[in-house]
Amino acid sequence: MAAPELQQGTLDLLVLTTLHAGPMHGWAISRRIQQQSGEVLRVGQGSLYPALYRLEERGLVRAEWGISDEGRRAKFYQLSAAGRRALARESEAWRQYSGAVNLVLEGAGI
Amino acid sequence: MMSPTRILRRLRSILAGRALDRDMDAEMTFHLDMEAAAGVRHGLPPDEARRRARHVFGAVERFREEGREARGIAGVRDLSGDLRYAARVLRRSPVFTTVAIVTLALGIGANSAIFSVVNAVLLRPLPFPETRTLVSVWDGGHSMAEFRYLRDRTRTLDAVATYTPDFGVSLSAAGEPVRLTSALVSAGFFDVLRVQPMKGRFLAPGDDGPGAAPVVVISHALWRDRFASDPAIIGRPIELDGVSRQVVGVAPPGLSFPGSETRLWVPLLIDPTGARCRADAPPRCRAGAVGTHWGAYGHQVIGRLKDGVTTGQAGADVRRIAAELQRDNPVWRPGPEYLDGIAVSDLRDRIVADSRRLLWVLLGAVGLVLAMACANVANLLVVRGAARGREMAVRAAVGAASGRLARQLFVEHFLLAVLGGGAGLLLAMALVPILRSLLPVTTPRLDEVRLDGWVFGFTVLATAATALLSGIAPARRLARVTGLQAMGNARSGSSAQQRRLAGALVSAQIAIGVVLAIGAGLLGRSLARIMDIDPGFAAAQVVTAQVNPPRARYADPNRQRELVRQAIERLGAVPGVTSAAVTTQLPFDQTNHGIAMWIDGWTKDPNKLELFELRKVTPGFFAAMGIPLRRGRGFTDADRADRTPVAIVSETAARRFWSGTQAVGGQVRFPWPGWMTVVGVAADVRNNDLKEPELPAIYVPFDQVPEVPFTLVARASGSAATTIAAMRAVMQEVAIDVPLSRERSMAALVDDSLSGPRAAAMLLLGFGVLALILGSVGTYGLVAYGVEARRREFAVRLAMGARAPSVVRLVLREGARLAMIGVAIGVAGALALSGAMRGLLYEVAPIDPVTFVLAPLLLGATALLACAIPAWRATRVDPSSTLRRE
Repeated sequence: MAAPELQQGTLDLLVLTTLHAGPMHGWAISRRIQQQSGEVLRVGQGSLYPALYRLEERGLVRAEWGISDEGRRAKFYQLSAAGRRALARESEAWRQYSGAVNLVLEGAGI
Repeated sequence: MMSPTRILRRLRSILAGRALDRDMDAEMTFHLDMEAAAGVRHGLPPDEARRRARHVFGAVERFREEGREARGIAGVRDLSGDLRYAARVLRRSPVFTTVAIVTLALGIGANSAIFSVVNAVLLRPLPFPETRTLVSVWDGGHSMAEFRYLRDRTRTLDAVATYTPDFGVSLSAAGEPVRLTSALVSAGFFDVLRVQPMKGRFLAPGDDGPGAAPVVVISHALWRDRFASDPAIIGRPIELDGVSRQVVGVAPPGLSFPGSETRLWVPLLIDPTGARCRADAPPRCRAGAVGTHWGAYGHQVIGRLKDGVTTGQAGADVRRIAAELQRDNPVWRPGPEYLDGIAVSDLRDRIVADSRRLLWVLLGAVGLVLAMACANVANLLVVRGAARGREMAVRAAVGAASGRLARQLFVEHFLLAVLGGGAGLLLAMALVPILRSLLPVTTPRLDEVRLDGWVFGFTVLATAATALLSGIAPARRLARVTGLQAMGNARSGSSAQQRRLAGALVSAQIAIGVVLAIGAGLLGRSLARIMDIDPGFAAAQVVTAQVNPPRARYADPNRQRELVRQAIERLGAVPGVTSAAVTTQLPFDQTNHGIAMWIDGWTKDPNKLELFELRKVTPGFFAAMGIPLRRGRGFTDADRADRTPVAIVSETAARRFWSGTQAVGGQVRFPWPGWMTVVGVAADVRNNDLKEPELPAIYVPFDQVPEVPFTLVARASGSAATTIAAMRAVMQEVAIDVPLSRERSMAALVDDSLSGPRAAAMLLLGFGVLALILGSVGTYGLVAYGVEARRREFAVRLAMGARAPSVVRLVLREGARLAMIGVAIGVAGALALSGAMRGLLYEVAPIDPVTFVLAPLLLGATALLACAIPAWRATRVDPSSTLRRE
C-alpha cells in the first residue's frame, strides 16, 4: 500500500498529537497514527524511533519504562509541559498552514 | 547555543551510552514482538508473522544508527563502538595481529631509539641560556697569543673565553690518589656560558693572571662523590698534581662542559707579557709563561655574539684580528690558508659536526625501515581485506553507512598502530642503552641520550603517520566495495585490484630492502678494508697504562727519570713480562703530540718547519710494541742525558726528508738550538686511526728529555687483566702517590678506534636484516594469498595434466616479477642516495660494483625463497576435492 512520505516536522506533530491522549509505547503510537488516519498514514519504524529520540532530546516528550497491557516491559512516552506548549503552538500553525493551502487549491478550482 | 539542560542531557546520554544502547535493543525487540503478535491475530502463522514484522521494520542496523544520531551521541559512541569492534576483530585473528604489531613495534621502536640519539646530540639546545649567541670562535685549537689578540681587539663578541678540554689531573685527597678530567679555562669561561655557581663563586678576572692564587672550581658530581657534599667545601684546599688549590666554587648539577667527564675547572695562566713574539725574542719565544708561545695549540675559544651580530660578521671580525696578528709578528708568518681556515660557528654545530653525517644517515635508514614496516602492514591488511570482503558486504547490505565502514577499518588500523607504537616505545627503552654502548665513544653528548617528551612526541607522530600510511590505502579500497559487488563477487572478489596494490607494496618493500642492504654492504666492506690495515705494531699481548705523577712533586727531571727507571726495572722482572717500556705518546690512545722540527739540509724558512709526531721513549719501547727497526740502531741505556742527543725517525720521515737511505746520521732540532743525530729508522705506525697515515714520527730517548705524565707499555704472556694487576702492584711499590689511569690492552685501544665505522656498519646491518625479514614476510604473505585465490585455477590445471614444475614456475614467475621491479627501483634509489654515504666510507666507492651486484641478488634470492613455500603448496592442491567444493 502506497503511503505518503511524512515530512519530519509533520511526523513530530503527529507524534505529539497522538501522545496528547496519554502515555503510550512506540508500537502503540505507530498503530494509532495508522488508525486515526484511516489507514492512510503508515509511520515507518525507521523514522518513528528517531523522531521519538529527537523529541526526547528536545525535551518535548519524556520516556520511561513501564508494563504494557500485555504485561511486558515497554518504553512509554508522554508529553512534557514543554511538549504540550509546543503541541498547542505547532497545531495552530499547522491549521493556519493547511487552511491556507486549501484556500489556494479551492481558488484554483482544481 | 545549546541550553545547559540539553548539554547535560547529551552528556548523560554519552556517559550512559551503553545502557541507552541496551534500552534501544529492548525497545526494538518489543516492537518486533508486538508487530508479530498482531500478525498472528490476523491469522498468519507465527514464523511468517515474525518474518513480516522484521521486513516492515526495515534495515535494523541503519535505524539503530539513526536512532543514535538523533540522540546526538553518534560520533563519540561510534568511536568507542568501533574501537570495541576493532579489538574483537583483532583478537579473532591473533597471527595477523601479532605479525602486524611486531612489525610496527620494530619499525617504530628502532626509529624512536635512533631519534632519541639524534635529538640529544643534534637537536636539543646546549644546556645554557640563549644558546643562539653562543659560538665557537676560530675553529680548531690555537695558541694563547691568538686568544689574547682576540680578547683585546674583538668588536663583535661580548665575551670570549679559552679552554683546554680533557686535561688529566691527579687529585690527592685522603686515600688513594685519583686521576680526574679537568678543563683548563680562562677567567671568562663561565661568563660566556652564562651559568651560575651552586656554591661559592666561579672564576673572577685575575684568577688567570700571573701571580694569582691557585684556585679551582669543582663539579657537583665531584663535590658529592669525593667530598660527601661537604657544606664547608668553599675555601678548602685540595691537592691537584701536587699543587694545593683552594676550592672557590661548586658548579650546578649537570654542568660538565666541555666534556661529559669534566670534574674540575682550573684557571689557565695567561701572561700578558708573553702574548707577542718579537724578532729579537728568545728563540723558543715563551717568555716564561705557560702556553703563551706560538705553536702551543690545543686551546679552544668560545664567545658570545653581541646583539644583532651574525656568525658571518663575527668571522670577518676575527679574520681582521688574525691578519693584524700575522702582520705584527715577524717570526711566525703562516701562509694564506691560516686566514682562510678561520670561522665563527654555532657552538653546538661545532661540537656535533663529526657525528652529524652518521646520525642523519642512521635516521634516514631507520626511517626506511619504518616505511617498510608500514608497507608490510598495509600489505597484510590488503590481503586480509580480500578475506573480509564478504563481511563488509554483509554489513553494507544490512544498511551500515559506507563512510561508517571506512571508519571502522581505519579504527582497526589505528588500533594496530597504537598497539605497535606502544610496544615500539617499550622496545626503544630497551634499545637506547644498547645504542649508547654501540655508538662511537667520541660521540658528543652521548650521556644526554634518553627517552624524553620529545622522543615520546616523535613516537606519537611516527605512530600517527604509520596509521595513516598503512591504513588509508586498504581502507579506501575496501570501503569502495559496494554491497552488491562484494556479495556477488565475494569469492574472487575485487582480488585482481587488491593483488595489484599488494604487489606494488611488495615491490616497494624489496626496493627499500635493496637500499638498506646496499648501505649495509658499503659500510661493511668499508669496515673490512679498515680492519685489514696493519697498524705497524703487534698489538696482541701488549698492555698499557697511563702513569700520572703529580706534576709539581715530580717537576725535577731527575725524579722523573728515577721513577721511570724503577718502574721499568720492576715491571720487567715480573714473570711473563718479556719487555717493559715507557712512552709519552701512545698510538691509539687518541692523543697527539705534534711538534715542529727543523731538519738540517731541508728546512730553509723558520715559518715552514715540518710537523712530526713526537714520542719520548725508553729503549725497550720498540720491542714492547713490536715496531721493527728498518735501519741503524735502536736506543740503548747508553743514550743518557749526558750523552749526544739522538733520535729515531719513521720510514715516512726518512723517505720524505732524506730520500730514504741517508736518514741515519742526519741532524734535526726542535725550533730552538740543540741538534739531535738520527741513529735509526723505525717502521711507520698508525696513530689513533687506522684510516689516517701517520705524520712523520720522531722518537727521542726519554732519559734525554723526560716528561710527565707517561704511559707504561708491557708485552707479557699472561692475560691483559693479570698484566694490569702487575702494573698496579709495581707502581704501588715504586710510588704510592702516583695514580694509574686508562689501563687498556693495545688490542682494545685499536678496537676502540673502530667504534665509529663499526657502529655505522652494525646498525645498518641490523636495519638490513630487519628489512630482509620484513620483505620476506611481505612477499610470502602476498604469494601465499595469490595461491589461495587461484586454488581453483591450479586445480583445473593439475586436473588437465599439468605437471608440478609448471605450476611452481607459474607461482614463482609472479614473485620474480615483483622482485625484479623492487630490485630495479631499489638500485636506482641507492644510486640516488649514494652521495650521503660519502665521508662514511673508506676505500670503497659510494657506487661499489660488488655491493651493487650482491645486495640486490641477495634480496631477489630471498624474495624467491619466500615464494617457494606457497609454490610448493600450489602443487599439492587436490583437484577433485577443490573442484567439488566450488
